[in-house]
This record gives sequence, structure tokens and C-alpha cells, in this order.
Amino acid sequence: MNSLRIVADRLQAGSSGEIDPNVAARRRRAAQIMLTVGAILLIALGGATTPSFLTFDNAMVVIRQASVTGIVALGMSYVTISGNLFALSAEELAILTACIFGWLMRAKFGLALSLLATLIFAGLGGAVQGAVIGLGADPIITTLAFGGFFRGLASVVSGNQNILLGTNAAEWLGTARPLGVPTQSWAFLFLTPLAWFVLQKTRVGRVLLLTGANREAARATGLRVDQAGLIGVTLLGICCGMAGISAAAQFGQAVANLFQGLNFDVVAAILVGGIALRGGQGSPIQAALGAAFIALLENFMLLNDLSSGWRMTVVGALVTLATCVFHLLQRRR
Amino acid sequence: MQNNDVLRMRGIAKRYGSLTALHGVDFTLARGEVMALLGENGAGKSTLVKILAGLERADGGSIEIDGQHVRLRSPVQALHAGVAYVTQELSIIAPLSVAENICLGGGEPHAIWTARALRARVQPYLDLVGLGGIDPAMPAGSLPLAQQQLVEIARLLSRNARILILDEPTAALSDAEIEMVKSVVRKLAAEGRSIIYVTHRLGEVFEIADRVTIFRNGRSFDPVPVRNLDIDELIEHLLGRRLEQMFPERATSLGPPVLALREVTAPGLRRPVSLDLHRGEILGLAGQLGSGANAILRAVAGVAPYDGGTIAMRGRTINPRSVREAIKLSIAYCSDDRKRDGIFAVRNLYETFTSPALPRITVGGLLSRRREVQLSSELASFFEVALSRLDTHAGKLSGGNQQKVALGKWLGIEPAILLVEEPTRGVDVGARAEIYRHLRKLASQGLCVMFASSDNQEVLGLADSIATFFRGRLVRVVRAEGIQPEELLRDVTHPDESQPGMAA
Amino acid sequence: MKSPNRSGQAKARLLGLAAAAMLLVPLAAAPACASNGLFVVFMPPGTDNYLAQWQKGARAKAKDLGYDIKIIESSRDQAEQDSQVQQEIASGEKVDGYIWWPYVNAAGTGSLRTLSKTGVPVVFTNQYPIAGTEKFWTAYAGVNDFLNAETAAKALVKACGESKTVKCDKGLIITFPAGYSAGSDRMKAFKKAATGLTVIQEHDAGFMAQEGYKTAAQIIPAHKSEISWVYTESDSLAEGVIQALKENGLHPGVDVLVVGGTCHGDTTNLLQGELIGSGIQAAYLEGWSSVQTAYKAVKNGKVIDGETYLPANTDKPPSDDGPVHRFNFIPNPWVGNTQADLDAFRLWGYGFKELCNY
Repeated sequence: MNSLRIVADRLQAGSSGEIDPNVAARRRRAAQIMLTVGAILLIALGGATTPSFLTFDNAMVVIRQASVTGIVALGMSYVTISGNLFALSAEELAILTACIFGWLMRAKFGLALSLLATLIFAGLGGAVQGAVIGLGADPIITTLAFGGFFRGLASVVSGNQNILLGTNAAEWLGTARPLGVPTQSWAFLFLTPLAWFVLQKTRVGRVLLLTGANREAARATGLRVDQAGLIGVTLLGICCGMAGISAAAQFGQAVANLFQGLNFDVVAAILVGGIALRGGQGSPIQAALGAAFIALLENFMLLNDLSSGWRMTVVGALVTLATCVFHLLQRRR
Repeated sequence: MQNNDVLRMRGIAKRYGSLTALHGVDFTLARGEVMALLGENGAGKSTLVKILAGLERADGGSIEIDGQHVRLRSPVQALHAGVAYVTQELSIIAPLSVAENICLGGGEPHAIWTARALRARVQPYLDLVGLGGIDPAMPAGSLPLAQQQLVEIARLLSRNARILILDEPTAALSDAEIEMVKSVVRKLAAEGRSIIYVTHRLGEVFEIADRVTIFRNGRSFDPVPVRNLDIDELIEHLLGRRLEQMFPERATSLGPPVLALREVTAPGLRRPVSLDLHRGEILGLAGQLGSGANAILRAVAGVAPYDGGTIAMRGRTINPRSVREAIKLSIAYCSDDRKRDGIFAVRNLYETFTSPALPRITVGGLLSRRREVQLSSELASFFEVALSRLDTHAGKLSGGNQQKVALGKWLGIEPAILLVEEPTRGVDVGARAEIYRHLRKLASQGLCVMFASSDNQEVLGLADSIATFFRGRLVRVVRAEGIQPEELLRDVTHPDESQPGMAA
Repeated sequence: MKSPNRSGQAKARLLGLAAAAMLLVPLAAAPACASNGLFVVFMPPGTDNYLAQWQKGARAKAKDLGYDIKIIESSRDQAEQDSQVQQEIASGEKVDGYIWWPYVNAAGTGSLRTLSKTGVPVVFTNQYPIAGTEKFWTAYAGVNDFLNAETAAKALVKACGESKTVKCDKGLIITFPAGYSAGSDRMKAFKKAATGLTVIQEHDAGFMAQEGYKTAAQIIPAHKSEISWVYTESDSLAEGVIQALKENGLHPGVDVLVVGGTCHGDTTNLLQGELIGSGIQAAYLEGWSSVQTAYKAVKNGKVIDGETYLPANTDKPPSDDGPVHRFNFIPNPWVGNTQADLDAFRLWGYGFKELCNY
């Protein structure tokens, strides 16, 4: 993750002198163009070369794959847009909430209470990090440390065993398909516009945007900049909670090594979506599109029998490419 | 003169998207001359010097240095061709010594530099910039800003720079420091180097430049020898129209006192200060950097809360501990660095204008687009910002418009007191007059305005009352009509302690 | 960052680092009071379920034998484990035997050699020793991944023969992550033993049900008309595959036969007939038998060349007496998919639930 840190510093250093607002618009356009062209090329290529690619079933698979990463990426976009780069504890918080949900269900607290308690806990898990960051701590380092804490706690809660929920009450949350679309995807499709709406149309969202755009100006304007960061990470926490619940519900069990590589997937979605790391620009929709594009690409590669090493290489290269392109856009005026 | 030209730029054109920054501009520079570059923000002068410094690429045109065609694709190539660019953002590395800073990046083929060899190497350049007296081994970061600037110039001279571009070199300096920089500039010109001097300060042009090239709307005029100009002509050239009056009428009568400072001590002040601010008044706090003028504003604004005495607003003692608290008291504050904390460069004007007054455009937690448009249109109209620009990002505006937005956003909270630091820093002449007019209009509508400025002309022209500051203390408070420019200058630079009428 | 307070930020960074460092300090177990001796175990971290069970078994057996046991977990990489070995030896503690579970098998050979120079028995566990390192270890104790997969393959072939609804032909293999040696060992052994079956695709997924689901959900739609069987390297992976099959309208156990490997705690799939059965690979017993092997090597001193399979007694664990072999494999019995099968199952005195509770 060191490299991320450096990239972030570079991007910020590049912008510290003269702020060029042209970049914002150009960047968003570039991201949209890149994603659209990329998606069209990929779909055309996939349709031509891979027989089962352009089918309804496969479309559902791609959407389903994008959903959990996408939900967390929506939350992460709030953190990035509020000017706090990334929270590298998303994976760990999702694991912990899965274990807590599993534990509550096993202890027969009932579905409603377990859901509520888990989501509240997830929000608190985010809020605590947001509060620490609000004190001026570096977001990357803080969340890295919290990540270790959450993972350790998940290990303790689960006793390093598979927590079996012992009931089917939650199963529909993870496996049902109302109207043929998986619940996770319903949540994703519903939350994406909601996240956009909150950011663009509510006062809280405005404070968050302005704080990300210019923390000093926001403070000088009397906005609650500490609250903005807090809200961003808290919402991410709740998104992690949803991911955790979905995972635990899907198989009726929770265990401390779920969500391998979720942090990277989410950060990749943000970067490929073209959200500016210095904050104050971009939209959760970009994060959602980033997640969907990566899912599409992964699916295409999987169907063409590429090994996991190759898939990882290609996605990594894509993220690097996206980062470089946006960085160059930032430098050119 | 023709043969003496060290630099010739012909037909330089540059476009940014749909915006044409330079329409085929010609520019020449003679050996050993100081050429002032004047123009409103956005007139094209910055673009031209950036092209010359290799920071931007021209879309068309040619550049000759000493009669040779050159391609300047990067700052390194520019420096190689003898062009050096000194901006306000210095590249001095604070922990390294002065000598090391000068040699940095020089690529001299020496395996080991001893302290003595370094000293010998840099001494001539230090002498050249008037820093012969300082120890080359001291950390560059410990020097005052002006001397750091000179070290940077020395560094560029050591790389054999023959064309020096100084971009507003005096913007952040105090008077004494400005003198130092100016004398170095004259000395370098006398040595046969050529200097391009970009500035907003008209006075400097007469003191230092041989010729002046004026830019307007992406075009340049032929250079004019300074001795043939007077300041009115210069302004006329700049604006393309005669500026009848830079400053609006003063207030005819003042209302009751609104803000009363009594024996206030605060960070940045060495002596307690007492002051009154009346309804409808514009109070100018005159002083150089570090004089304490800004400290007063910051204490009232809650940025650096005061620690002794009392501040009363309409008879009630106030003690804002933060900007938020001051805002609740209807006190608005604009710092001198609007890019840092005055505007949201990457957000549009709707959002910037309404940022302090979010409650006014919110209904039940949701933003009302109608109210947002209404409020920001109102504020934009008041400050004469074109409504069609409300959709653009604040950072895209010229310095003058940015300042209008930075000021204008505060009207949304209907403030009783408006505190402004350096109201027109980095603002071109045309927009300056507008800002003065708007501040006056606000005052005449019953607002109290208190501003701090290191520009004496501005204080004299705009304020109803003037408080002069020198080294952390209040020198005196006078009616603006009652003070001559020379007196003001003396107050803020070297006040005579024994003179009657001085504050204790 | 746009933070105004640089030093505050630096301080907070330091605090964050300190917190991170504290969380990463491996927790080493302190030895108890006077006893017959001390075994020291080097292994990857017990935050993994399998390894946690392994530790429980190892501790239980050490207590039973009256030995102290010190388990040193490395949480990051082989370099960390190497330095742990150095430190442990440098401490001068009197140790009666080492148990070695390298983080990266090949890269750990240097440390293995260092351990072998101490002169006390070194028992290799879980990871199959690399050829050429024979001089550096005394005995291997643990699972046999080849056997594990072979058992699964035979069970599948048998189930295919008995099934009235499926004619086994083409199928998928879903494996552990690429590069994990147990995974490639199992795949090789499975393919060798699965006579008459055609592999359409093999894909690495991971260890968890989620990962199995993620991979299977994407491959299955393309092949759903032709798949008749799926082999996954563990029952956890199988759980995800079964869900993906069902989502594609296939009935595991009826249209497609699914076989896993290592059992796990959730018996739902088994009892619903969606898995044809389960292989018992008990981490608890692997830890247990590693300690027993170390004990026997200390007591007996003699090591017999060749390999042995510890007897799959139902109620009696293997005896603590007698010599050890170079390879001491724990049994890998098969269990069917009915409640009666599960209830009837016993190995060394433990039931299915006790051995597969992770």
C-alpha cells in the first residue's frame, strides 16, 4: 500500500501550487470516455470471441460480481471525495461485521435485531476512524492501523472458527433473486443513485464536497470540516457492514478470512472510475462504474480461462494506466 | 537598438481550449534593459513568460535568443538557453546551506566539494545579488523571504542566466526588502543581463524599468520607454480607457460605533490596541507585513483569539474562539490568501457563493436548487459577476473575479462586520476599482468594513478612517482626509516616536 | 494533505504506526511450569481456522505427554520466520524437539538447516518436504494431499457409477489459489485417480465459499449444459460452487455430482445430498500427531525409512510407543452424506462434528 501513498502524495503535490480547475472537468470527461470506450471495446471483443459472454445469465453474473465491491466503493468514494484519500480498513471492517452478524444470529438475537446492531456497529467502526482522522491524523496510516485491529477482533470474535448462523432466517439476504436480480445487486442499484443524491442534493453532502475541495476554505467558511470526514468514513463503515452481512447471509456462516483483496478491488474501482484523489470532485457513480467495469473485465478474462495471476496482472495494469493518465492530465494545462 | 536585441519572440500564439490567451504576440528584449510587463490578469503576460521559461508550449510563433532559433520545451532547455524564471514560489531547499542551494543541480564535474571550494564558487554570485555579507554555510531556510529570493536569483545566475524573468517579485515583501530586490535588479541590468519584470505595482515600473510592454486581451503593444510616460497614461494604456476615478466617494456621515476594541492584546501585537468601528464606516489598517494590522482582524474574526482587553460589539463583549463563532456573531473575514481559504477552486460559483450560508438554501436537510440559484444570483449581481459564469469553477476566474466571489460569498450570512485582509492583492487595476466601489456600496448600506493593507494608496483612497501600524503596535488613528501620503508612509515604515498624537 | 498542523499530523502518524506495530507483534505462548521437556513449533499464524485447530490439537497432545509447547507464529513472511528461528536458538533455551511448518517451503530451507544443526529432532509438518532437504529433518507428520484427492476421486467415480440421474463425463475443477503447493498436489492426484472423467476447465479460486462462488458463478453459465461433475479442493469451496449451480438451475447431487476435499463445520450440503460425501482431514489430529511424532522421535531415537499411515482406529488413538517412520501420514477417511453416516463416524475417539469444526 506504500505505493498508493506515494501516488497520492504525488497527485497532491502536483496540485498544490496552482489549482487548475480545467483538470476537474477534463478528468471527469476522460474517465467517462475511457470507461465507455473500454466497456464498448470489451463487450464487442467478448461478444465476438467468447460464446457465453453476451447472455442474460452472464450479464447478471457480472452485475452480481460488481455489487459487493461496488457497494463498498460507493462508501469509499465519500471518503475520497471528502479529501481523505482511502480508508484501507474496508476489507477488515467487512470481515468483522460478517463475524459479528454471524455471532448475533447464532446467539439467536433474531434477524431484525442482528441486522440493526451490525449496521450500527459498522457505522461506529467507521466513525471512530473518522474521528481520529478528524484530529489531523493521516487517513492512510490511521485506517491501516484500524484494519489490523478489526482483523484481530474478527479473529477473536470468531475464535478462528466458522461461525454457523444456525438458521436460514438471513439466507434470502444473500441468495434471493427478486425478479431475477440478486439482492446484492438490488442494493447496489438502489444505493448508487442514493449516494449520488445525498452528495449532490443534501446539505451534509455539500459540506462533504466543499471540505474535500478545499479544507482550509471550508473551515474559514464556518463549515464543520471534522464532521465531513467523520460522515464519509461512517458511511463507508455502513457499506462495509452491508457487504459483511451479505457474505455471512449467503452461506449462513462467517469466518475471519473473508473478502480477500477487497481493499484493492475498492481502491481500483475508485481509481478506474477516475475520482480525483485530492478530493472535492467526482461522484459515487464514477466509483460504481469503475467497479462494474472491473467486474466485466474480470469476467471476460475468467471465461477465457486466464489464470488468477494473469487476471491480477491485467487489473493491476489497468489501475496503473488509469492513475498515470489522470496524473498526466493533472500536469498538462 | 535592433542589433542589441537579446530576445525576439514573433507571432507567439497560445490557446487553452476555446480561450485564446495570446493572438500572435511580438516581444523583444534588449541587452542590459529592465522591461516591465504590465497587464490585467488574463491579458496574456503570464502565458508569454511561461512559454519563454519552457513551462508552456506555444501553438505558433518563433523565439530567437541572440539571433539563434531556440526551442524551449522544458525549464531545463530554457535555462540552457540562458532564460531563468523566478516565481513567488521559490525552489529553495530550506535545510541546505546557501552555498549548496546555489550549486544545486549545477552538475559541476567535481567529485567532492569541500566547504571552502563551495564558498569560493558561490561568493561572486552572492556579491552580485548583494548578499556578499552573509555566510554561505548558513541554512537557506533561516534567511528572510527576500534574501531567499536573492539566493534563488544567485543560483540562476550561476547557471549563466542572461535573461531573468521576475514574476511579481515584490508581492510578498516589505518595503525595505523591496528596495533590496530593486537595487539588485538595477545592478544586474548594468552588468548587461536583461530582466523581464512582471508586476501589478505601477509605481515600481517608474522606479525600475527602462521600457514597458503592455498586454491587453492577449495582444501586446510596442514597448514604450518609461521616461515618456506618466502614471495616468500608463493606466490608460492598461485599461484602454481613461480611468476617471479609482476610488469611490467617502462616507458623508458615520453611524454609531458597532465594534469597540479596548486595550486588546492578541498574538502578533506588542502593545494593547484600542479602536472603534462605526456603522457605515470603512476603517483601513495600514501597515507592512508583521505590523499587527492583520493581527487585529484575526483577533476579531476568531482566527487568533485575543488574550487581553475587551472587544465589544454593540455594547456586548464578544470573544469568538473560532471562525464559526465569529460567523454566528455576523462577523465575516476574508484572509489575504484567497486561493488557500477564500474560494473553492474546483467547485462552481453557485456552490462557492452559498458556502457560508448553507442554512439559507436548505429545506429540511435538502438543498433547494431554487434558493441556491436565487441567492448566488443575488450575490453575483451585487458584485457584478456575470450570471452566465455561475456555472464555471471558481478557480477558472481571473484574480479580480475570484476576489469578488471570495468577498461576495459573505453577504449570504448578512454580516454586520466585514473584515478583509489585502482586499486587492493580485487583482488587476480594472477589477480593483470595482472592488473598492462594492466595498463602499456595502458600507453605505450600513455594513462596517475593516480592512488591512500594505498598499498605502489603497488605504488612502478607500478608507474613511486610517489606523497605522508599525511592528506590532498602533501608531495612530486619523481621519483619511487628515493625512498626507508622506505621513502615512512614514507611520508604517519608521514612525517618529516623539510626535504628538501618537497612541501610547 | 491540507492539514494545517504538520507536527500534529506527524505525531498522529507515529501513534498510528505504534498502534499498527503493537497489533502485529506475534503472540508467543509462554511455557508452563516444570515438565518432561519442551517442544518448539514454528508455523504461520493461527488467525486461520485450520491453523487454530492444529494448535489446539498440538497443545492437547503436549499436555497429555507432560511436555511444554511453545508455538511461534510468523505473521508476515519467510524472512520473519527465519529471524524467529535465529532468535529462538540464540536464546539458549533447552529444547527437546522442533516442529517445522515453513511459511514458504523452499525459502525456509536455510532455517530448516539451522534447526537441524541443534541436534534435536526436527519434525516437518503439513507442507510436504522438498526433495534434497532430507538431511535436515527427522520425520514428516501430517496430511497426505495426494491421498486426500485420491480418496475424493475414488468416491466420485463410485458415486458416478451408482447414480441413476447423471452420466458422468465432463466436469470442472475449482482449486486453492495458484502457487499453493497442497492445491497442485491434490489436483495432480485427482486427475490421476479420476478415471473416465473429462476436465473442461480448471480454475483457482481461493479457500472460502465466497471465492468458490465468485469463480463458479462466472464459469458455470457457459458450461451448464455439459457439466456432470465438479471437484473442489475443499468442502468450503464446494459450498460456493453448489450455490452457483443452484442459481443456474442445476441440482447438485441430481444433475451434477459435487465432491469436495477437506471437511468443514457446515453439514447442510452434505445432509441435503448436494455433496456426495466428505473427506476427513482433521487439523486437530494433524497437530496432535505432529507432537506425538516429535515425542516418539525423542523417546525412541530410531527412524524407519519409508512411509506409514497411522491406523484409522475408530476409538483408540495411535500408541505413543514404538518407532517413527520418515513419513507419518494421518488417516484421511471418507464419510458418506447421510445423517447416519455422520453419526456413525468415529476416528481416534472423536466424532465428525469435533474433527470438522472449522
